[in-house]
Amino acid sequence: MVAENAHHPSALHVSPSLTHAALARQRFNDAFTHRRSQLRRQWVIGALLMMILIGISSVIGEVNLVHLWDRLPRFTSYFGRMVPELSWASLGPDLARWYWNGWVWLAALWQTILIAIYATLIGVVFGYIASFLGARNLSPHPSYTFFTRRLMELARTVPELVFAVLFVYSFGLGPLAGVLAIGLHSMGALGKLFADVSENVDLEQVKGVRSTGASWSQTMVYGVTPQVLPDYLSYGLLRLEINVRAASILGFVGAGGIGQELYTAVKSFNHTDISAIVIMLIIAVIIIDSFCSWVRGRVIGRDNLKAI
Amino acid sequence: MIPNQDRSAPGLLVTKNLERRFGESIAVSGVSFEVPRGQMVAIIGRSGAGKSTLLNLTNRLLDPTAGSIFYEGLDIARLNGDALLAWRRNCAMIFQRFNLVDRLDVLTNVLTGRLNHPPKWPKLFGRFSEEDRDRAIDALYTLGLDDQALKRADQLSGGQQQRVAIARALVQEPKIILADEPVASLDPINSKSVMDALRTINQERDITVLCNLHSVPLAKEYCDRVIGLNAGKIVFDGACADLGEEELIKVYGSLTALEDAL
Repeated sequence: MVAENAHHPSALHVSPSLTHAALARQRFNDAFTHRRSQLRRQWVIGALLMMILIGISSVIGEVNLVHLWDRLPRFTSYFGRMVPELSWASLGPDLARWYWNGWVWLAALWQTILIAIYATLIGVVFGYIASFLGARNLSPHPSYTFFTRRLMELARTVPELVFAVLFVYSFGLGPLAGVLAIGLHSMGALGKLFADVSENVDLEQVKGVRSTGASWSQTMVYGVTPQVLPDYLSYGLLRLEINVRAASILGFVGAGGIGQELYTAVKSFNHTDISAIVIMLIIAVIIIDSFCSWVRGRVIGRDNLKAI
Repeated sequence: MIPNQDRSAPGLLVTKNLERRFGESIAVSGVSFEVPRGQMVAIIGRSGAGKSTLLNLTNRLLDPTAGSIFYEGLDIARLNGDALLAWRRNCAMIFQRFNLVDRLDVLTNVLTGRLNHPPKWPKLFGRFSEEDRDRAIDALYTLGLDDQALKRADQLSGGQQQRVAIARALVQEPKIILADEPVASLDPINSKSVMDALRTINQERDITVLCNLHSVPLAKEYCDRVIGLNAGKIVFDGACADLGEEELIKVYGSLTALEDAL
């Protein structure tokens, strides 16, 4: 600045004697201060609004902290009753008594896992087909995109339990209703995720396949599928984890699996049965979750992590 | 122009007043030419002159907004359904960026060139016939890549990938090959091997080649004929020998633009 002014002595007398750089800095500082005070105002207004909304919703939602505090002991005592009587001296017989119905529960748990697997398969297969119709860049016609997307929305907005009630009503009690309910919901969720992934494919590669005279479905299989497969697999496995959890609840409405056993235990006040079943369920979910992330890591990691 | 009865000559490709607009802008306009079977034609011009659009129109990856394309008397511009797919098979394309499917192995990439050959349904589930596979390996052998068949396409160098793309084109058993700047992403040595391969295929198999090129010397070295495009219109169409500096300035618009292409 000094050197610059030295070359232009007249500039020293011009008031205010600011160079272009200094002017730019000044302009920025003004803008920055203005923006900061604006942000602060927005933040204050936002926080106030938030607090009012929280207050209103606690009234409407009947959130009552005093009541919560009063009733807390009942909650803990419920847990207390779920703890079985175990002692070191007679651990074997105690465990046997706790898990008196263990084989039945294991079979029910296995059924739950099978429901989840079949439901995920249904979701993956139909979601796969729907994803190409629902992807705006791949669909043969915009109307296909519209109807596929709406159908997927419908399938995933309705909760699994509602579907399960409907299917139990029409197909009777048992795992079939559970498979259909979770499968339908999975199709909606996966179809949407898959379609979003497909909208990001490299169209140059797709064009290469299309230029050979490949039909639309052939182009999807050879031009698109290889590009999206890792992401589809990743989402599919994630869905399997979610579906195991979902399938464990469906027994409450008679759609098969461990949920039915759990429901019986809750209804008949067999508190130690509840803890026995819940612990089995937690262990199963942990095993499946780690299996899924192991597979995902092997498939995705080999490919994408190598680059860095 | 050309009398109708002549359009059905074997292997003859004719375009008549071909036009393609993208919104307000016109990429290709009033393009008419005829290419007899077995000719190797270079299409030159600055980028944005409409070279790529012209090839995409010929393969019908793009639809023309006006005009017609005839092959052996058949109006290509009006094909649809299975007939359109069969035309794309007959008219193989090679791209500047190779356009292989990165995550598929080389063999499967080449086999995609057989997707339009019957039976088509088993191919949807990855089942290609013994004959298809033999053809693919033969094509890879011709291009010196048979030992790379099981590698993933994205593990190959650019020159190798472009030769895989040529192998894919070959197994289509095309009548015409359209090459869109096939060497623009390659170094001189790989450029030579790719252009040599195209010329050999052109001469030995009597396949017509239309080749977009950004380099005038390459056009003169490899092609029988040059078509010059400027702003979507043909400004030169003739033998390489007739392509002097005056004509080149017409194609490239100015001497400086021309120097970039030499």
